[in-house]
Amino acid sequence: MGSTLDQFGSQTTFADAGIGAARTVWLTNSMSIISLVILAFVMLVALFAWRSTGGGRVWWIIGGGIVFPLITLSVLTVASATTLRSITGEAQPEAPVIEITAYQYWWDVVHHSEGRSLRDANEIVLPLNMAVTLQLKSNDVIHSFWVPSVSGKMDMIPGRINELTITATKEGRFRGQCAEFCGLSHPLMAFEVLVLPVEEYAAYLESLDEDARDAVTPQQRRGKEVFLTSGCTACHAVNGVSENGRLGPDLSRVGARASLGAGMWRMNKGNLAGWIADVGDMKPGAQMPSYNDLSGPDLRAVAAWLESLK
Amino acid sequence: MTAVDEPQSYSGTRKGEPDKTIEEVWAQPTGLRWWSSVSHRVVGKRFIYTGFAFFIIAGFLALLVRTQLIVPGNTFLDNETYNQVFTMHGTLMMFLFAIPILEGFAVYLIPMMLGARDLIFPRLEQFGYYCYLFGGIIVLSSFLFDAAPDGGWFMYVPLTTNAFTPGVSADFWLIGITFAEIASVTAAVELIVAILCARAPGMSLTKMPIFAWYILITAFMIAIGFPPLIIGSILLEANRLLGLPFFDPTVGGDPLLWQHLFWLFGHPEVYIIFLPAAGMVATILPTFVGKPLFGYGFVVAAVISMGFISFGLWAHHMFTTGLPILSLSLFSAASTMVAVPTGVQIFAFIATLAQGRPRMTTPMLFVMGFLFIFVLGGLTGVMLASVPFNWQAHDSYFVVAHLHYVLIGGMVFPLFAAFYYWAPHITGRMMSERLGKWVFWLMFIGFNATFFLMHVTGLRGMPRRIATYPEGIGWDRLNLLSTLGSYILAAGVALFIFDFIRHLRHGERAGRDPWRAGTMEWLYPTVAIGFNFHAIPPVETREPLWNNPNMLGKNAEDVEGVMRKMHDGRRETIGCDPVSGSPVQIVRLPHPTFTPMFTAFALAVAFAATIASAYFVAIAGIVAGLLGFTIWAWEPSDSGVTRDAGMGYVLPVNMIEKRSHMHIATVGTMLVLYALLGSLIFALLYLWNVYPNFAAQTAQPNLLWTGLSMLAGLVLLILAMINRRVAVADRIGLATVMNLAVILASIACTACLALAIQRTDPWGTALGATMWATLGFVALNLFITLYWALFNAARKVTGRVGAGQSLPDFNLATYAKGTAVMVLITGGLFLAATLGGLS
Amino acid sequence: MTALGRQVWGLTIPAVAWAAHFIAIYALISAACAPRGLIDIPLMFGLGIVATVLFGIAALWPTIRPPKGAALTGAVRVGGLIFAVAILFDVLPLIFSSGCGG
Repeated sequence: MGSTLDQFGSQTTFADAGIGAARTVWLTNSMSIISLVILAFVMLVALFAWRSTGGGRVWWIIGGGIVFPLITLSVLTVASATTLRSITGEAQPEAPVIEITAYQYWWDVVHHSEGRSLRDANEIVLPLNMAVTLQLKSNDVIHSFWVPSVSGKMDMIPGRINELTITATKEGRFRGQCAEFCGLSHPLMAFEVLVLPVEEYAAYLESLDEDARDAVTPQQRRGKEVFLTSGCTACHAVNGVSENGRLGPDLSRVGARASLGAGMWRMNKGNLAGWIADVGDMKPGAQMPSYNDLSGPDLRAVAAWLESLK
Repeated sequence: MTAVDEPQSYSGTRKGEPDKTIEEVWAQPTGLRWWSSVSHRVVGKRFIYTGFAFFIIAGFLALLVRTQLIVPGNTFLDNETYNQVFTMHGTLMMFLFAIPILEGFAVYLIPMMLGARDLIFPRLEQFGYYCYLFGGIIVLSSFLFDAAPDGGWFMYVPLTTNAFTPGVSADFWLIGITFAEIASVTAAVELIVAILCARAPGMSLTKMPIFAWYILITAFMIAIGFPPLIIGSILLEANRLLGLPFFDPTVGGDPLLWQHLFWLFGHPEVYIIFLPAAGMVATILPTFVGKPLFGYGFVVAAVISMGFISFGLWAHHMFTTGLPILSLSLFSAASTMVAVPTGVQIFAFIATLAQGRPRMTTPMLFVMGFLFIFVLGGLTGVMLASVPFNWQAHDSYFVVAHLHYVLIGGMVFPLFAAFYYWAPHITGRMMSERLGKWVFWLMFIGFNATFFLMHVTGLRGMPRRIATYPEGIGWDRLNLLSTLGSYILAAGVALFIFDFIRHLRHGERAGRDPWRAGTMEWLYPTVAIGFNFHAIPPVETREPLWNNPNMLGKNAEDVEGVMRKMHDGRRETIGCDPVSGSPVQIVRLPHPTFTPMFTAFALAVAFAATIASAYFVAIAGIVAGLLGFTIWAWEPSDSGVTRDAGMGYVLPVNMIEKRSHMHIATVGTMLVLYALLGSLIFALLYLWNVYPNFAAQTAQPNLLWTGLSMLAGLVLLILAMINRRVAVADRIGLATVMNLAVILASIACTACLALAIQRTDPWGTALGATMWATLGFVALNLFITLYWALFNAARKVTGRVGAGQSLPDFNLATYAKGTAVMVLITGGLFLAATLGGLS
Repeated sequence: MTALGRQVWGLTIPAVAWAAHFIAIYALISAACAPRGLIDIPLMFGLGIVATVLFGIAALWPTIRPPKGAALTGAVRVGGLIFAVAILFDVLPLIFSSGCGG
């Protein structure tokens, strides 16, 4: 499959790349350390208890079982509630809204900006240091949106809209993954989060509003033609080329994404061709049929054209 | 009630054999008839061995999982197979290993610890075992049909509805597991009654071995905790078979309803698994310290509080589903404070250890291993109770680490301690101390190597339930090490199996009380006689073998006690007052019979046929099952006589009053049924409250028929009370008439309730479907009331009921009253819906 | 009632009090925060406090006045205490929150 780590910053919860993640890290670390200390204490007491000389054993039970837990648990409850409030507390009515709908096994992304609905797929671009409200939905089964480096997760449940406000605090590319078992290709349902400074984010939004890049080379033109005539448009939309297919990911900027197949394979012509010809093998259970009866040149042409859509 | 002294003539199940000795009457059937045994020792061992077999199978599945994850991008298992393997690993471990094997130990040990010759309903226990066996076989057989369940062990919807899981794999899970759960629920009722009603003279609740308290609380938890899953499974199966839209958001259903019902079961479930194991630790630890458990009262209090509080934690499995923050905070606080009663138990164990240096035998090693692993698991559990942390750790390998720490630490390690500790009791021989130490260290090191690293893996972002992962994210080495650790753990288990088989022939003979324990199961030299006690000794302390010279100071068969003389050639044991333990009755016990097995088999056919969509066969199976129950219960009554139990006690046989074991069992069963009804009412209120728009679209119940149904319920209630009074007064003819009245009232209740919601379309909205489901459940209870009344009437009409034998009507009255109140509650809800409006 | 019987009640009453309290708090939160919006936050808060006082006293009763002559007095007192702590923890979120959103 090839390493995806060099394409993405990280998928660890310790990356501090978002308010949700960063403010939880100290809680994680302190609870872990305290837990290990308590474990060590309990084991030492258990192993050496027999050396204690009579009396007062009731206080071991009251102290160890009631008093000590009450103190630590109260501290923990307060710390936890405070952290929770700091992550969720500030209402952000002005925050831009990004509607993300999970499908088996990809992510439909719609940025709502200045009255426009700008559609993309599998890659979520976020502005640096600006709160964004994600409206999380599902088209089929329960999925879960998790980009550990930036924020805690939120489930995507059919019939429900779950809101998650996130603020990314570091530039870069981070990997997210569906965190609720959703079927055959659950392990192959990842996504990218790209954090850009605010001006570049605005430029990105503009690019979504424009038509996709023109086909330039003959191979790309051939590719576009194959796209239009092989039934791809029934599911896929490309701005300015064909905009009715909404059953599958929007491909207007597919070439600009770092990865293919929802965060799984490097974006390049070869993988694109392999995907189109044999998606059923690469991602079992995917709704897209395998186009294995396209001729070799046609397949490469489509791949070249898609790769050019940046 | 008249007292008669001459033996009565019997028919039906095996007659008494007054010419035989007690040994002969209690002898185990041999050859093929061995399968008809109802002895708790035999059935308990069956549960243990079968449970262990599932443990090995599920453990093997785990090794497959780990092998697939040893390197990134591995193709050892394809996605589809992997999904089946991890689902079955969890399902087999949770449902077909953990609870049954602990149940097996409880079934085996409780009568001997408490001073009884057998469990109080031996045929029920045999029935439970065969339900478990056949249910387990049905679930396992799914592999043969390439239809193993693959939706995860908690089977979330909508993934497991027909739209996304066509085919029968989910049905194997829903039907097979529900069938196997019948075993757990029947065992729960059985154990509650056995612990409350069949103890040695003088063994009050406060002098019971602590293990009995653990099992008693666990049994109550099962009675209340399993029903939500049973209801959820039935609703999901009804959705799959009939299209009823309980979980469909387009008509006001909710996938979260499944999650609520599942976790209302799922959280108590893990405490149900933990508590019996902690009870084993509480029993084994004092033996090797040589002193009693310190803080018995504190432990009892902690176990009771844990039993209750564990029901208020369930939504901590749902922190990421978008519930209101206030709701999350409630469950977070509740989940955090459950560490208090847990801590009380742990420190009581530690205080016990403070009373003397323990002998570090193999069981004791596993107890120390339990302490380490379970405490760490409990601490990560408290971490997970923190909402912001949970939002990162949920559905990641951190949770996989946590759950294995608490389950393997909290249950498997005590279980292995129990294996080594009670093996001499079961087989008569000691296992090897030398090999035992190897088994312990391999398992301890292997376990920690496998699972400790997973805390890190999860915090590095690896979600759970993924068949593979990409290279280079930071999970490669962690997974490799975890997999290698799992092989070490497996080696430990393999060595255990080797030692177990070896010791059957070559183990050192155990003799009498080889561990110098204080509880009564060790009274006899191993292996004890099949009927446990020649005479059931009175008990004054919690460790009778330590404190009472009457016990170990004599040959076991010479120990003084009650019930030395057999009466009427029948199997029997002493029955006691639930609180004080003083003898109040003689409980007659059944002899070996195939009827429960036949009944379980009929139900197995019915369930399997449902999976195969062979509905006529399924109906035939249910009818055969009903026939089986009828034959089972048709035996003549033993009530109406008194017998001399020895030591000055002249007691009624199978007495007729509220403390009768049959009555308490009926009450226990009502507890289960009310938990089932409660789960349905929860679903109704949930859907009504969360989807008011769809509630408004649901047709209102008919006011007239609703009112009439409540009236009919009231009538049923009154008739039931009269029926009991008349029966206890031995007015047999009138009691028969009252039976018929109860039948008519039951029919009336059913008809009125159905007519009340006749305009509600079960496919229209989820709320409407749930109203019909509630009706269906109440109607089932009304049918059982009707059938029971018919049965009782038939027995009286055919002359099988004499004076002082009104126990069946006594119990029917309780059941009918309980059902009548269900009608009133349901009618009341329909009335509220009509008056307040569903809108 | 016998000493043993009193003791059993002493163990059971706090448990039932806790269960009733939990159901009350859960029901109040659901009533206030679910789409139907049956009650408003001040009422949820008020009824929650009432439930806590009532059931909290019931849970603590055996701890303050243990049943006479019972062999497991310690059990009864600790049990009541644990349930009282549970009741307190269950109502804390209600007290420190400003509404359904925490």
